[in-house]
Amino acid sequence: MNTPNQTEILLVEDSQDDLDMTLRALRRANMANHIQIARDGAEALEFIFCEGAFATRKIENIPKLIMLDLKLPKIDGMEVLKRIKGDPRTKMIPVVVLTSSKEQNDVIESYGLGVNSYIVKPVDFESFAATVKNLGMYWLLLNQPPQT
Amino acid sequence: MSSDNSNGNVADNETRKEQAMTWTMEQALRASELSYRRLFEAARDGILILDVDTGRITDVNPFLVELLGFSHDEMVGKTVGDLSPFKDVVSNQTMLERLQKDGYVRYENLPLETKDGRKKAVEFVSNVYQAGDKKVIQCNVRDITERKRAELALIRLAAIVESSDDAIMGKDLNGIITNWNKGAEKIFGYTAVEMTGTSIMRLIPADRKDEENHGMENIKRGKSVEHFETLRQTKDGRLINVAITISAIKDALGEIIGVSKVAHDITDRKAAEEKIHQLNTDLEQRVVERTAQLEAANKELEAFSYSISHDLRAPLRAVNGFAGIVLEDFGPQLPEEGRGYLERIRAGALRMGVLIDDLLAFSRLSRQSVNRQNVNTVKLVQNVLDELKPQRDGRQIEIKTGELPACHGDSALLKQIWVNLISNAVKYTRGREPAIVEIGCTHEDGEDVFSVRDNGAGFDMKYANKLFGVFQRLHRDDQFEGTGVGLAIVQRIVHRHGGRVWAEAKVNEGATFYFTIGETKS
Repeated sequence: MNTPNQTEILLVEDSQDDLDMTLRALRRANMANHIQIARDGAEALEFIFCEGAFATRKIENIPKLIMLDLKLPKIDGMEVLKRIKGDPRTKMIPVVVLTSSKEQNDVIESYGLGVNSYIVKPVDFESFAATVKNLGMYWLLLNQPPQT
Repeated sequence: MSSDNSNGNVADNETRKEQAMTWTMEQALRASELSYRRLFEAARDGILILDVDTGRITDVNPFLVELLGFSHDEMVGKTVGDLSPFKDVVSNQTMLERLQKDGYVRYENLPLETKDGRKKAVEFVSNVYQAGDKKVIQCNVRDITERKRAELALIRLAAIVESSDDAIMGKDLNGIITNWNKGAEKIFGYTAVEMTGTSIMRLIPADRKDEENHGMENIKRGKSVEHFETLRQTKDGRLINVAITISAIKDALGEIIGVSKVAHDITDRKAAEEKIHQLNTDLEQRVVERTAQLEAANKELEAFSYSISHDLRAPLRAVNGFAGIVLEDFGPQLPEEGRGYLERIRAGALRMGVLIDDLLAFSRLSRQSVNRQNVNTVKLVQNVLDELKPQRDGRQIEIKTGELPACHGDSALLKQIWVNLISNAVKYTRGREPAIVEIGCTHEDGEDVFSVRDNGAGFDMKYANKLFGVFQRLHRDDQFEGTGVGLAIVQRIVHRHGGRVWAEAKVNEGATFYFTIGETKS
C-alpha cells in the first residue's frame, strides 16, 4: 500500500527547461504531488537502490513510473535502465524513456533492455504537454501494476 | 757335269717347273684379280680407274654409277674434268700433275652435283699404282653427305647451347660434370675448365645436398624430366634462385648414361614476386588502417548526428515551449500583435525542428548500406501513391502510370525516391486544373530511365544546377513549403546506387525528373 508521501513518479532529467515544462504539464494534469526529481544518472540510481542521500529509503517502496532521459551527466540513461531492469527488486518498475533522440539504435537498445515505452519529446509545446499528461494518466491511473 | 740326255731331261724338268710356276702365278693372279674385281664391284665407295697418261676413265664401279647417276658408258673414256659433277672443282690437268709428282691426291670435302641435281659432299682420294706393266690411277669417292649433315647439326646444337643465357650442363650418373656452357659460366661464375670433371655438388648449398640425390634417383627410376625451383651457390658464394630442369641422357640402346641439367636464373623473378608480396602486404595493411580511419570517421559522424539530433532539438523545445507557456499563461494580457510574434517564434522553432530531422535523414543516407534486391516497381509505386493519398485529398489529380519494369536496388531507398518525386509533383501542381502526374520508364542505351512528369509550376532551367543541393530551393516558402532536402536525398540515393538523376522543366509548364539506378535487372 502506498503511503501518502510515497513517490509516484521518478523524473530523471538534466535540462532545467525540459524539467520545468514536464512539471508544468504534470501539474496541470494534477499529477505533480509525489514526484522525485533526479538531475543525473548517478542520483537516479542512488534513489532507486537506496544509496547515498537515499540510504534510509526502503527499496520496496518502488515508484509507479520512472521517466528517464537518455543523455544524462555522470551515468547515462541507458546504463540506468540496464541496472533497473537487471535487478529483480526493481525490474517490475515501468520505465518510459523520454528523450530527444530519434536514433533507431537508441530505440532498439532501450527495448532490448526492457524499456516499457520509448517517447521522443516533441518540439511543439502543445504536443509535449499532451504527451506528458497522457503518459502520467496511462501509467498512474490506467495501468494495473502487479501487487507487491 | 751331265750327259746331253740327262741335260735334255734336266732342261725338260726345268721347263715343266717354270711352266708349273707360271701356271700357278697366273692362277694366283687370276684369283687376285677376281677378288679385286669383287671388291671393286661390291665396294660401298665409288671407284674410278683412270689411265695415267691420258687421265681418261677406264673403269667405274657400280656404286659410283649409283651415286652420280651417270651410266658406266657415260663415264668411261671421259676425263674427270669432263664429268659435270667434277668439272668446276677438279682441274684434270692439275690433278694429273700432282698425281704424277706425289702419287697421291686427296680432296677432303668436295661438293658435287649428281646427274639429277642433288648436292653431295664427297671425300675424293686418288692413288697412282702399278698394275702389271702399266701405271693406273684409282680414285676413291666416298659419300660423306650424311656425315657432314650430322656434323652441321651438332655444330648448330652446340651453338644453341653455347649461346643460351640459361646454364646448360651435362653430368654423368655420379654427378661429375661433363658439359658446361657459357650460360653456366655466367650464372655460376665457374669456367668450363674449372667445372668439367668435377662434382656438381660444389654448386649445391649444404642444406640441399639431398635434393640432388633425390632428383637423380627419380631420373634413374625412369622419370624422364624433373622440374624444381631451388637455391644454388655461385663461385663468389652468393645464393641464387634457379629453376632447374633435369632430363635423362640415354645412349643408342636406351641406357641412361647421364643427365642434362638446365638452370634458369630466377633471382629477379623471385625478387619481383617478393616485392609484389610485400606490396600486397603493405596494401592490405593500408586498407586495414584506412578502414579503421573510415570507421572512426563514421563513428564520429554518428556521434555528431546524435548530438545534433539531441542537443539541437532540446533548445528548440524550450523556445517553442516557453513561447507557448507565455501565450497560455499571459496571452490575455498581451496585445494582438504580441501574441502574433509569439506564434511566429513557435513556428520558427517548429520549422527548425523539421530542418534538423530532414538533415539527419539526409546524413544517415551516406552511412546506410545499400542492399540490392529485385524490386517490383509497379507495386512499389502503387504503395507510394496509396501513402500519399492524404496529400492528394480534395485535389483533382490525374495520375497516369506507364509501364514500370522491375529493377534491382534497395527497396526502402528506392521507395524514398518515389515518395519525394511524386510528393513534389503533387505539391508543385497545386492550383492546376487538372493537375497531371505521369509516372513512366523508357529503355535507353541499355538502361531503364524512370521518370516523374508534372504540369505544375516548373522552374527556370538556368537554376537546374541548384536543384539537388541541400537546403537549395527554387521557390519561396510562402508559395511552396519545404526544406530543400527532398531532391538532395533523391540524388544521394541515386548516386549510392551508381545511377544518374536529372530534370527538365519550364516555368509554369511543369517539370520532369529522370533517374537511373545503375544496374538493370536482366
